[in-house]
Amino acid sequence: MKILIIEDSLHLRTYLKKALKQDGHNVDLAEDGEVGLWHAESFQYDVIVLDVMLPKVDGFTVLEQLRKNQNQTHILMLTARDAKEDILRGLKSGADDYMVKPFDLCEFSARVEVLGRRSHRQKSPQITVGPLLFDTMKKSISVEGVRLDLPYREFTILSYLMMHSDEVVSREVLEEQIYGVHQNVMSNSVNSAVSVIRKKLSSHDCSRLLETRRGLGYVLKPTEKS
Amino acid sequence: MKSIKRSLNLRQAFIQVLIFGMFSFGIYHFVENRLLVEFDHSLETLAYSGAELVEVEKEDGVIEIEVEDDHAPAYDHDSTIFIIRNPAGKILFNPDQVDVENWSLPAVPKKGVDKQNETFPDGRSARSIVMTFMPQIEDGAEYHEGEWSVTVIRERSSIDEALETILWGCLGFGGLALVISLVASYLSVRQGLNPLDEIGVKMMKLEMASLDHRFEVESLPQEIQPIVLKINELFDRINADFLREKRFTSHAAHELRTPLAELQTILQVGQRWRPEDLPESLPSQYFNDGVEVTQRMSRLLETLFLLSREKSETLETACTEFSLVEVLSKQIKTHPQVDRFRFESSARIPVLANQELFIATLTNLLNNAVSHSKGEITVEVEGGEQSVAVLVKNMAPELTKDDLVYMREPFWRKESSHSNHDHLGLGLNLVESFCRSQSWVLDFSLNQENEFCVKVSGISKVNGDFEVR
Repeated sequence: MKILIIEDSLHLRTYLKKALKQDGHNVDLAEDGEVGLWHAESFQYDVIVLDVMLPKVDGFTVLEQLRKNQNQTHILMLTARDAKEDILRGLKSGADDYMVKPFDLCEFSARVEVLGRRSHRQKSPQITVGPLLFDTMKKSISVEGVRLDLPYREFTILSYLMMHSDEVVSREVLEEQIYGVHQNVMSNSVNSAVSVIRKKLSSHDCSRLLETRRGLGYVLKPTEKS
Repeated sequence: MKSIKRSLNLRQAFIQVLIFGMFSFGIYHFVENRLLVEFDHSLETLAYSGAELVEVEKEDGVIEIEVEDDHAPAYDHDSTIFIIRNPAGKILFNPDQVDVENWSLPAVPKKGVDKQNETFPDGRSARSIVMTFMPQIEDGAEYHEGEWSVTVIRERSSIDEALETILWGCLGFGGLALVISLVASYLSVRQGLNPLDEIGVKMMKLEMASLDHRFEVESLPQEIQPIVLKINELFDRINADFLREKRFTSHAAHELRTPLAELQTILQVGQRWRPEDLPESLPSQYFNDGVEVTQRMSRLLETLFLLSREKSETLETACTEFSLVEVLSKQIKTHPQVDRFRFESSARIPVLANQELFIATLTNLLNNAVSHSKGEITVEVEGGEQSVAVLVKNMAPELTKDDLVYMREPFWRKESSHSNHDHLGLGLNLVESFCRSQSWVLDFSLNQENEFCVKVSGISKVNGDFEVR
């Protein structure tokens, strides 16, 4: 999943990024409301983690602005303000969830996962595509019960394709999933990642699940089995 | 429970009963008096007629007294008794044959007319008049025996009946009028107190959270307006206090919760690493960040404790004599951004104050000025006869006059996000606490050019007549 954290506390945003990266997500950071708003409107994210008391533009304004511009990204408000009216204001303005600092990291991760699944219209934490099973909570992909040992980049691409199975996903979208805003994109990184995924799948006799549509992108077909 | 309405109604009822009672009593006695006067007048007329019956004449050289009963006045013999007595008290005229043996006649006054109530032998109430008189004396006659008396007694049932009618009239109409008056008074009191009732009902309906409610004053009676104005003012103050408290809670929550969240996240992210996967450089980075956060929290707690010590009056406030200018110069010279300060003073200016608190005050003010401005900072000393003031001035283009109101609030910062961890937003609070403990006065001002000035005045000069807490 691609996640944006808009948080003014350096430590919080840095360590939340570490935690979310450990969970296999691609994370972008913004230290104030203005930069955060620019990121949210310029790129497609699955989840935005938004603080309220932000420099330049406060979190409520960012949220209202995004919803006004028809941005449908799921937003988790993460703030020290625990007053009922603040929580209500956040939720009424269009936030999907609200967490008060200090918080438990496991709970935070779980809530981010839930919002991410919701953005891919998945309710179950386990996504099945043919013989493939993606456990979103355990961060593991297995083929008929045997765990696939995949590096971060390949895991991210395959999990994204599983969440969008039977849909053609462009190379650019996959690049966005594995690279942050400030990272340089390697031209053949998606190709090589897909190649690695295919090899792994072929060892389990299901490489034909992943098809290449020339000029369009990739698609994971749930019914195909070689 | 005391009730204005009940108290007013009771008082009104008491006063009205008193007035109506006195009025009825007065009318009754006035009419009784008038009737008796008229009645007595008719008895008197009859008595005068009777007096004219007695004549003294000289016949054949002999003086004779006779009662001309042929000329007796006409009267109702059933209800009136007419008696003439000579000076010796002997009844000489008793046309109705009153049995004087069994009934004592009214006594004869020495002179003049005596009127009184009587009772006939058969029990009927009556009114009597006894009048003394000198008989008519013919020419040549001489009379020296004294005054005769005429007694007229008449039944007074007509008067009593009239008085009874009047009494019942007074009781009936007076009672009715009293009831009407009481009802009118009750309604009037109720209507008069309606605005109070309405305010009471509105206040009862107020919820604890509805502090922004204000009562409409213009439509209220002028007697209640000052009360309602005061209530509105009270609401304003409570609301302002509530909002201040809310801001404080919100800011305090942010200041305390954010570092806690940081610390918890650092530790929990660290926990996720399996020992065998842990890079060598990672623990030290986690520890350093954790220590930095705890140091920030520690600084916050220390400041809060300091504020709390001032409030509980356990702050050390003992005063010593020192040179204000020397201390001030030293603080400026040792400041990391000494080049930004402009301070000129040659006088020594000895003051009596707690030197530590003075230095702490000064440090906070100088640091604030350095952090929140970019240009030159002017420090001035204003000397008075008994006290001296220190002024710190700097340009603050982002500050507004409205901000001056909030500056004394804990955790207040111009930047609402509170992202800058170099400051806690408690500096001016601390300065104010120190000033309060030393009886100094802290003032903020912002001039037209947006030059912000903090003034600490009331620092006692040694040669002055000063008072130190």
